[in-house]
Amino acid sequence: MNYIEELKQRLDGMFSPEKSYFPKDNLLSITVSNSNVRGALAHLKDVEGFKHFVMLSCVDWLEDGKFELVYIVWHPEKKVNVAVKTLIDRENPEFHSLHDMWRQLCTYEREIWEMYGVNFIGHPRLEEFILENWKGMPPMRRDFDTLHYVNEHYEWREGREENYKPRDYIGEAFDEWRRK
Amino acid sequence: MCTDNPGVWEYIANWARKHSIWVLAYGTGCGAIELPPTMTSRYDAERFGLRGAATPRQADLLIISGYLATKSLKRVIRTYEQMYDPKYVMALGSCTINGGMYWDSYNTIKKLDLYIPVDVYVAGCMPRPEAIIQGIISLQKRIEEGKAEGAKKYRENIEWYKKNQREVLGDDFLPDYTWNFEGGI
Ligand code: SF4
Repeated sequence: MNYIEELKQRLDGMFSPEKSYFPKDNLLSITVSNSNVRGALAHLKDVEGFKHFVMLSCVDWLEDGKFELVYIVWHPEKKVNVAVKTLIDRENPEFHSLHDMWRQLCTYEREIWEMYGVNFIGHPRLEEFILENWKGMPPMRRDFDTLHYVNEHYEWREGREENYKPRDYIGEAFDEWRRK
Repeated sequence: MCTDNPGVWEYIANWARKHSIWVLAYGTGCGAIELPPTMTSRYDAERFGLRGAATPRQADLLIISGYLATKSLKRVIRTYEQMYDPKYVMALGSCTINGGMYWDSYNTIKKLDLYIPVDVYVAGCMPRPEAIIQGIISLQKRIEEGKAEGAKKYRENIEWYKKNQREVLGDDFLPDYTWNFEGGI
């Protein structure tokens, strides 16, 4: 049994994840309950030696009414990634900030707060980051209708809608080229 | 100064302007990557009298290289207003014309000429250095014929431009002093 499988067994025993599997050879994904995230990350960082924090991202599961936070860490010697995932409610999303474990989480959390509206409790600086003067729904949520927003806020240049599809236009030449 | 025939002076001035365009390349979009080869030895734009300027106040031509997020539009307007007359704007790439492939993006503008006057558009996604040079040459033609009057248009229609800018940027968008002083923009 190699390192990553042993690691999976250890983590399964300690944090009883809802789901743990290998999306890729050197990537282990575990989905833990909200209260186990800090414990799992602390264990990975301090005991297992996953010193490097890769990224935090957020997935919008609109149909299930959930946001999924994905914390990815990297072991520099073993060359292994672990993704610690957790599901939070989409209505009024809240999670505790983990910026004290890795400083760069400040930035990730701030971005997710801005783009998805997840409130990170205890974050020192949840304020405007990339957007300016943004009002309304955070733009990265899946139910944010970009086309509707664009129609309301910007003017189109006429002529765009009449454009032919490049595929139709180059059709014959393209088919000929493919036949070659 | 020969006031009864300003056409001659204007003609001479335009001839001179045409041959010394200093460029402020504001890399807002992907098109910015085409400017280094245009400027350096491969395409050598300096043979057309083109060269880079360090600051807006020394530049004649503002090249807007692609899509503009509303956030960078704010900076572009500010930059444009800091430039001295005569000044020209070249808009590079389809994003500046109609939004390009960011047509349904929530934070990029779709029509640049609503916000600042554009003297020459270069179509393409992204335009090659040859296209940029073609654009420069047609800009030079327009300068020589005295048709590159974007700055004048901006001054005359300032209310309209400001209204459009305010619409996308919100009210607290720019400090007044970049344009509202004696002697123009
Ligand atoms: S026109 Fe194409 S190359 Fe230019 S900024 Fe837009 S997407 Fe990028």
